[in-house]
Amino acid sequence: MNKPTKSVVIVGGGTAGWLIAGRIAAQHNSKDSNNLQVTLIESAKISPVNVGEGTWPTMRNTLKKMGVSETEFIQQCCVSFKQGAKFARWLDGSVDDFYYHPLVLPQSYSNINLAPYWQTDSEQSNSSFSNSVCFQEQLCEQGLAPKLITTAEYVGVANYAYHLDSAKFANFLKKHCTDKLGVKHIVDDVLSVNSHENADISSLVTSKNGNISADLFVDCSGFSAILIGKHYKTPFNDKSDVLFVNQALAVQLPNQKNNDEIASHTISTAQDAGWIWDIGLPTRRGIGYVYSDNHQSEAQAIERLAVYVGPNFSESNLKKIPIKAGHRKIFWQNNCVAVGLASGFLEPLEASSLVLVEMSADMIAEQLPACRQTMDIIAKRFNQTFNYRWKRIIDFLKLHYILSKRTEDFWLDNRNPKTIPDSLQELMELWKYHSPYDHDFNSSNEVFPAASYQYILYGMGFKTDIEYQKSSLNQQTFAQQQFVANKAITIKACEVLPKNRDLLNKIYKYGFQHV
Amino acid sequence: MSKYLIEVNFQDHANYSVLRENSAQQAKHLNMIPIGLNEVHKTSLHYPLVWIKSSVSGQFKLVALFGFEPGENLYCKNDIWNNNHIPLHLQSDPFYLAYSNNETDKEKYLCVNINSQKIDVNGKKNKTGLTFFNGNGEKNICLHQAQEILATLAHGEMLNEMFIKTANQLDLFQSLSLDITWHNHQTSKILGLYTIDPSKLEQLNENQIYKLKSNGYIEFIHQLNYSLNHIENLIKLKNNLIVKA
Repeated sequence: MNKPTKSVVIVGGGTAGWLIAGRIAAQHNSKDSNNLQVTLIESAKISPVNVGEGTWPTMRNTLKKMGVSETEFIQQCCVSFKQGAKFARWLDGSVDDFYYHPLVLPQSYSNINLAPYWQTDSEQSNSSFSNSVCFQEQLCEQGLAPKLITTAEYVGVANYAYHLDSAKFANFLKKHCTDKLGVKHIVDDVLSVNSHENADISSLVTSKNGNISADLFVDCSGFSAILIGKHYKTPFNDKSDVLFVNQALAVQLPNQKNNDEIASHTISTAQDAGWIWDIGLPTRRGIGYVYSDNHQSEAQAIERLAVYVGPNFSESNLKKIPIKAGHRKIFWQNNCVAVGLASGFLEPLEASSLVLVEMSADMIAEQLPACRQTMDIIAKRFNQTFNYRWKRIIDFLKLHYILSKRTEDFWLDNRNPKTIPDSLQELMELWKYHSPYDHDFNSSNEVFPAASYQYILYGMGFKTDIEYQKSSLNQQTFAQQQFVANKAITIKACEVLPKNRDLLNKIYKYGFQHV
Repeated sequence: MSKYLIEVNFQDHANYSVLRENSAQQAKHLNMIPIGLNEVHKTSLHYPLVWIKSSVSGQFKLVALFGFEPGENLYCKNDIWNNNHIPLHLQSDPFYLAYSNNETDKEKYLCVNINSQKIDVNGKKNKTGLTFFNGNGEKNICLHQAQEILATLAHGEMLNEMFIKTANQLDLFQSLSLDITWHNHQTSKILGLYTIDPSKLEQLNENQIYKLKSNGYIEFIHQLNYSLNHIENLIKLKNNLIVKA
């Protein structure tokens, strides 16, 4: 039982597979053949789903840890900057109804919770919560980049993430992993699984390369989940009773002119039975409608998307992807751990798919069981951690729906208390009288900071009744200074930062420096 | 090309002369000037040499530092240059090199900034000057000197590019931030300066060190790092102004 972990085999060559491979190989210096060896098996027959076009700011650290140059990544993966999300028509559906969830934390966030002061400050009442406490909404509205060409790679003037072409990203990672990190790449189909007596996987039977054995197997095989699902049949935690969206219709609009502006944020526009994402890349716009087919027919949904896209819409390149909201109850079974779509999927409202891959990669790479004896302990911890994280994400996504005043059935059903998890109902009860802050989220495994909840709640017009707490709000002067400081930073940032498109063009020409 | 930068020719500039003035006048509002690697051995004895990033391209540029903020030249006092050495870029003024757009054959043209204070036409300024051309239409020594200096600068730019490429490959640049407390207890934080990290040299393998040595880069790096001692002097110069104020 104390057999050391000497080899990892990853099944699946999408972004999840290569991110896992790269993080493990970089962490364990797999270039050296004496160290842990990483092999990735990719089927030639299955093409990856490639929907995840938005990342979190965490991706900067993930790429850095793998030794990736940000300049090359931006040049080769059709990357643009993302500074958060703009939610349009979520509140009442009117044309000018919108709010932002930016990536920059509220001004002086670690020193003060500005939310109650924003609510009581009459001067701030004309300004949105996001505009009062954070400068990033204005950057997005003006199409500005989060940094300058003189800013070092992976450093931001404003916090930022990426929009990218996920097919190109997977290829880019493949090249980096195999050229620089010592990951072995096998193109072959996995036919079946051989097991040890204790139900561990001993090897995978492939069609051309015989049996491939390893100490740990990572299932990144996408929706087919060939190890965690087909082999182990671990139960699925269906969440479609909470998150109703179950279909996606995706199109790509190519041939943007070279000088077209590129939005540096994801635009998410609510519809009568779901919402439409709009992601600008340097060469194309990715647009998709995620909706509930229990509330709308496919023909109607296509009609909604066509209206949004306008005259360039064509049904011929429409991609249809069914969505099953939920996740595995057990992610790590015996010596097999599932990551990416094999572990579960939720609507891409807050780009949670790739960030869960990164979090899984961190945990697997950094806490890789030294031997079989410790694997069950790490597996138990992994399962607890990720069940917690999925739960938090589901609560946070649901939060976007329950504050809406829209009156279509889809939205009314979303506000039905029976569909709202108890954990979220409890928080909403709390926030009626307390503004969200870090004490509400005190696990070391949190996904979203309390600031994110603030941006959504107050962006959607939620009011916390602070009457009972008024006596404790004794930092008026300091709060006032923060609002003034944020105004000054906003003006300054809008002055110095270049247009998103202009910065990208400079990166193609010159690149960023390392320092 | 700017409309003030005009190719030097006898027909237009027969009556032009360049004044023998020191460079302090036109440099008194410059807080830095570009330096080529081929003048590092001289300038490093007199000025702090640091790398900055071009605001246009983010690429590194080597400069001699004269002051801590835009418009501040601490080496210039009452229009007198208080340093024994004048960097080539200042010496070349008001002449410039322009290149033809022809990709295959990049021809160079000697140009002059006709708006420069160093230029005199028909002796109007009543100051000692040297005409561009002699009576026979031949170039005078001032044009020959300018051409020589400009050629040295152009060569320096090329050497810088090669050095920057190598230093980037070996990841030798580090950022330098200066936290200065002035005599009046006010503080400044100076950002945007870069140097070559000497500790990175220790991490290089023999091959990489050999390459740096054979290019003369090790010597350059020592000279560049030596020149940083002049920052202290620059701080003193500014403190003198502050105390008097």
